[in-house]
Amino acid sequence: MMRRVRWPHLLVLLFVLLAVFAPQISPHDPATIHPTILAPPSSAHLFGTDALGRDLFSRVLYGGRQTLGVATVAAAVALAPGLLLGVLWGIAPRPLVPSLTALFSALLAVPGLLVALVLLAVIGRGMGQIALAVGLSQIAMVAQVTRGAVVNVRDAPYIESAHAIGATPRHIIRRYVLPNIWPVVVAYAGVTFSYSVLNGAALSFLGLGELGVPDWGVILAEGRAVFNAAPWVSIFPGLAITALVFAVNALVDRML
Amino acid sequence: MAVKRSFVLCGLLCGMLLFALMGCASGDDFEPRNPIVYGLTLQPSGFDPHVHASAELGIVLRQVYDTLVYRHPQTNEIVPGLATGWTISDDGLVYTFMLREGVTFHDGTPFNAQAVAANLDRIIAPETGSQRARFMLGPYSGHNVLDTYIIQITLSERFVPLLDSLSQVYLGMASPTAFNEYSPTRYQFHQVGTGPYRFIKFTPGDEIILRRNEAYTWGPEFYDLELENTVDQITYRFFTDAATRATAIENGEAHIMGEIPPAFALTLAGTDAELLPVEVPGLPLQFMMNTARPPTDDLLVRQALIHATNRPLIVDTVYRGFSPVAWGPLSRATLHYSRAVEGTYPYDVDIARASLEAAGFEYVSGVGFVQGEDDAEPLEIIVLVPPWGGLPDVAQLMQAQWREIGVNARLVQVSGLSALRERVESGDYHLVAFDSAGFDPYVMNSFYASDGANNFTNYQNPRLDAALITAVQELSPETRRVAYAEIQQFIMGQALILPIRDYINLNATVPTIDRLMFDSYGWFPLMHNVANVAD
Repeated sequence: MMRRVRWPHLLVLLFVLLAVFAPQISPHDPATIHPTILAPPSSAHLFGTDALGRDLFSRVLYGGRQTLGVATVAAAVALAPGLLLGVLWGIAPRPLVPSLTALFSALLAVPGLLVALVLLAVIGRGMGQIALAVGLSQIAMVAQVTRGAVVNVRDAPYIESAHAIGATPRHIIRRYVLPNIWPVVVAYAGVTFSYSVLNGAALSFLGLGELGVPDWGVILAEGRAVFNAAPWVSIFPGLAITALVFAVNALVDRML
Repeated sequence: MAVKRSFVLCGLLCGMLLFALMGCASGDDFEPRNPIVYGLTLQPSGFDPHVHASAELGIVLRQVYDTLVYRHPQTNEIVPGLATGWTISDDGLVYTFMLREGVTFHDGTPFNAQAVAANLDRIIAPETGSQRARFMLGPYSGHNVLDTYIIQITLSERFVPLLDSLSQVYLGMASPTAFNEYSPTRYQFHQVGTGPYRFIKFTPGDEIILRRNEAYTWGPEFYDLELENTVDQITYRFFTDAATRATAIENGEAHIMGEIPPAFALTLAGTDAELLPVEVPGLPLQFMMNTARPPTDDLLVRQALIHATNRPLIVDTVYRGFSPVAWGPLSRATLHYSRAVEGTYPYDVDIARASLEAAGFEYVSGVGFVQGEDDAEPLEIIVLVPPWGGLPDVAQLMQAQWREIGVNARLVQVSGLSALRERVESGDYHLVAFDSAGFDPYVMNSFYASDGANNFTNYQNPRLDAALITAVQELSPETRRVAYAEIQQFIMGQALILPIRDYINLNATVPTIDRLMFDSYGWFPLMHNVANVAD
């Protein structure tokens, strides 16, 4: 068992711990204004300070809480209904399949980020709203992947045998379908989480989050305005997003 | 499905064809000798000066239209433009303008009193839907053409800012032949004036092209007709992303650029680019406080919020020394600005705390100021923050400063002007950030009169209303100055606003640009004299 613990596991765990214990680890309050603006990284400010003189290390730590929180909620919002719809689509009676396929294809034809933007225009700005929008925009994708997995096992000989011995559809789904699609679902949950991190950060980068609430996307956007003078303001949150997504994807790879 | 697809395809093809035709329409043999690119910062939603209200349109169209009078950019005095002289009746209700002879519009239409009359009729016609020009004419009641080159404008009440209005591009003189030929929506693509540059082409979202009017000999006194190397073609391009503007100047993609972010201006200072900061008169960047909603209905709370804000620090941090701290309802470049408001409400957290306690709030350690005895509610101030002018940064600094004394600010971002107005109409705010440009202090009226269209403070006071009206009607400049000084002090006495900084339009040019000047309104360049001298 120990052999399976590798760097992606550790890195993801590290991100989670840093996010959970941000208030204890962070050397400063993320909103406190310090006298030196755009100070380069030093022992006083590990990641330097931003354009308003706030400690960047503390902001990136607190930002992790936001970014991970938003991505977790978004992934949950995408996965729960996505799985259910995917399974139903996979076992739907044949006459219904073409219309369901057309409906999901139409939903999938619009890029997720665009759907999220439209949703935000309706439900308003805020981190909670971003999580909801990012989650909702990925439901069709989760459903499609789940349906693919269901279709793969649906016609397997062991399912036919189950039908032959008179098992009910409910029993078949619980006993035979779900356990066999589980690896795909778990792997895709990781992918959904990564997408949620990226799309959540992209939307808060665009200014659709809450002003004053640090989030990696927000810090990245703030850094862009001073990139010539202080590249570190963008580099650290950018690295954090990249490392997290990379670690989650590597973790998913190892699970497959 | 197939039908829909062919519709979309058809639409796309038509669009491409239209673009191709627009390209052909402007194709001619003109080879510019001295062309430049001018960077604009916003995509204007509409582009007709009589109809639309943006400052962006004036940056371009100030070159296309002449006005009856001009404000001299150095002395700020009203000087002749298309009118060589004017008289004002003793009661201040009739303005008689003697017009310049021998002036023609770019399409050959002669300029005369009939043309002025047609322009005035167009501006006030309800179907024009004027968003600004109509308002600038104040209590306009009609015109009277006395001779080919003499026209009278009559008012129903005295309105001293009329000449100021007539000097602005929103009341520029357009060719009646052109605006009668095209519908209002199409005219903005075919604009014709008498100015030093002709309107050649406007492709929304892409570019606007102006070319020098070689026949131009009738400019105001500060236009020098004998200059060499003057620019003969201006292509305006949009640089809506603030982070790209300084780079565009550095690599020569644009010759002149407006609204450089202060952080980038500092990096430009190390290159051979030239910075040209221009003070914009009018209402400074400020937060208007809603007096109709507790707790900002209480004067003590409003005063506490100003005392709790370290404005010099905010201005230094966000605007990097490129903006002066604002102290009152007018910025210092505005006519009749009163220095008496300077230094009022200095940053003092002790006074701020004492004011809040006097207003009935109690300080609870770890929570901040609360109101009420049993289930005490923490004091929360809702601040509406639009994205322009560095306001998101200002608001975050303010939030941090207020938190230190125990006041919680909830920052609500609004995406633009219409979202801001919508939220203001709902009444769900305590502070709202706003600014407005204008040289005459009359710009205050719509914000502080009880029935003003922009009365975001919801302050109602018959005394202030009367003072604002008297100041607009007062003919003596000295009495007017005193009246406006009293108004400015009254507004600050009531702490209706939290002024932050005087607006500075931070322009940059490549080193070859020479003789660029801006008019008294701060936003609008006067391109007639501008030269581009390559070594």
